[in-house]
Amino acid sequence: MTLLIGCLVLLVVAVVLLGLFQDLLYSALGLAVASIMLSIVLFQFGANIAAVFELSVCAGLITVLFVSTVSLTKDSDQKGESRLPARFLLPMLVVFAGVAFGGVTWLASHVAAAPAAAPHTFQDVFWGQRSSDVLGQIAIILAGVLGMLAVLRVKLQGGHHD
Amino acid sequence: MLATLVSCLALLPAARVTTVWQAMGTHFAVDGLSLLFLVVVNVVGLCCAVYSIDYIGHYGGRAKFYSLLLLLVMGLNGVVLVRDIFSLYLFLEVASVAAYVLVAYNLEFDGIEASLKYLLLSVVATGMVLIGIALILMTTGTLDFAELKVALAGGAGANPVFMLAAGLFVAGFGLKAAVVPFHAWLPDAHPSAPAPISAMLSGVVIKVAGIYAIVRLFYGVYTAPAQVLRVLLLLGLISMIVGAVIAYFQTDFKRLLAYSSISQIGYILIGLGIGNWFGVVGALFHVLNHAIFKSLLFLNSGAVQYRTGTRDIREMGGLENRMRVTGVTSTFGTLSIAGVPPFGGFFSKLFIILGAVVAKQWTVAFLAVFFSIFTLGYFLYLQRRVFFGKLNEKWSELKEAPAAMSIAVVALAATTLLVGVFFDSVLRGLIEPAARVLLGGN
Repeated sequence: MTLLIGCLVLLVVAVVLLGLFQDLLYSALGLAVASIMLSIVLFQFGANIAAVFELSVCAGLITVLFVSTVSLTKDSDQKGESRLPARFLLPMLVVFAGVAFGGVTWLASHVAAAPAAAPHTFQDVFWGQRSSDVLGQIAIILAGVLGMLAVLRVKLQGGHHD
Repeated sequence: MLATLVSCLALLPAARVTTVWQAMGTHFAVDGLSLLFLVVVNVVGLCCAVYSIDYIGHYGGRAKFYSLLLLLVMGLNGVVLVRDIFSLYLFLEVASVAAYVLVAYNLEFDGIEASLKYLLLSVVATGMVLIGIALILMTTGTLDFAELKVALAGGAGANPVFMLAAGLFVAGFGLKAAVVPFHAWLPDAHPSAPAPISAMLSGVVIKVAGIYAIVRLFYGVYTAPAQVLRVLLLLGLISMIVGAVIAYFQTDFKRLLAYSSISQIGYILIGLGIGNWFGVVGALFHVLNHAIFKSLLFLNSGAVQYRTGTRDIREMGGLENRMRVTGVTSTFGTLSIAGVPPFGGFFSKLFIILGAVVAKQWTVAFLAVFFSIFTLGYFLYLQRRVFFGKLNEKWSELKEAPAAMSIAVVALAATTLLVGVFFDSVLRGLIEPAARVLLGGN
């Protein structure tokens, strides 16, 4: 339980910090830390396959892609954008922790857990029961790739048509 | 899109029957409500695709544009066909990701800024929807609409967790529907996007991503608890008034249309919030009508911008002399949105007002009538400033929009007229079966 709470706190801290960093590189690393914490939380809940995906894809692959891209495109003369001042960090964390604690306490007193369903293997759920979700995810990835190609395309010259 | 549309039209005689099938582990179904929204998505999608043949040329990347448009339509079709709430969320995301990119397709500053704003606010919306889904799953152990309806039967209003989830759904899907006060993304995203995408967003996306999800959940699953209907009615009234008043002060053609969409979404929510037969039928009929006439008006604004290069209505005037097809079809759209007979918009607003009268909501009925007249006022002003009056000298060499763009707007203008002229057939064939699904709780 202590490990779980510690990971959740660190997860929130990492997420808040990655929004406050002025350097994109630090933000990418903050995201990686958040993903690692989330992986540990998922392991704690017994969602081992989800945790492995989170660790390998989000904390690993995506961080490598982000860090590589930021390093390759970073302009050393570029000044950081102004972000939320760091003095807001503590009040934000306190408010977030208060809301989270209040929400969890309220839910714990009101939620009656649903009867446990019959256990299924990951393969059953992923390929059998929820394979339409795989189709949806493929469509989202396709939209993302097409989106990147569309955003990075060379725009034709010309304005209105007389 | 054409094939889907033909399939939908072929299914119309069986609109009162629910067809269920299972594919890839998920239940899909077509009932009267799905069919109405499928028709809306594919009619508008097809017209936008035809319009884009000429329009999108100067942006480049035609293949990418059409691929994203097809993904957008696929996502929206998926939303209305699935029978569980997580799949609904997933297909909503497919449509949303495609929409974020399409809003920024012109690669100009305002488009990219609007796209980011749309993305950030949508993330908040989907976050709320996901938390709502988690609460429902945690409590009931299922996400299937039919099983949820049984699980929630009778107890939804009394169970605070279900009502918390309902609040999250209202806020999340309300943001997708651009209901006031969750509308901040819409006035930027709709004007900045290419015209066919503005038409898709305003005509279809806010309805499927917002209104369809709301009615499917709150009528189909929650069986319309009184507290939720009151909230919908209140949000509808606020949206109708705020959208119309802000639209009145706009000088940007597309921004005016965008605010007007918020106002018209308000009418739909009012009908749903009233909750009686007239109200629900009027709301669903207005979904169809608004999709047609608002897409038409956005495509017309795109034709004007395509030729003049501006969206500022103060620079226009007398364009009807040079762009006759655009001017006439725009007048059709204006009359329909203002609720003038025999156009479709008249009948849907009439039903909503009748619903308010039957429910003895006199203030709501009065406000609905008043803001319909107000809408007529600012749209007539728009028509006069853009299309009528003395031709501005600098537009003397202007030509009509290219053929494909004109074909699309003529098709939509004819549809809005025909829906009004044959409103009885449309009502019985398309709207009533959809209303029966909601009011019968089917």
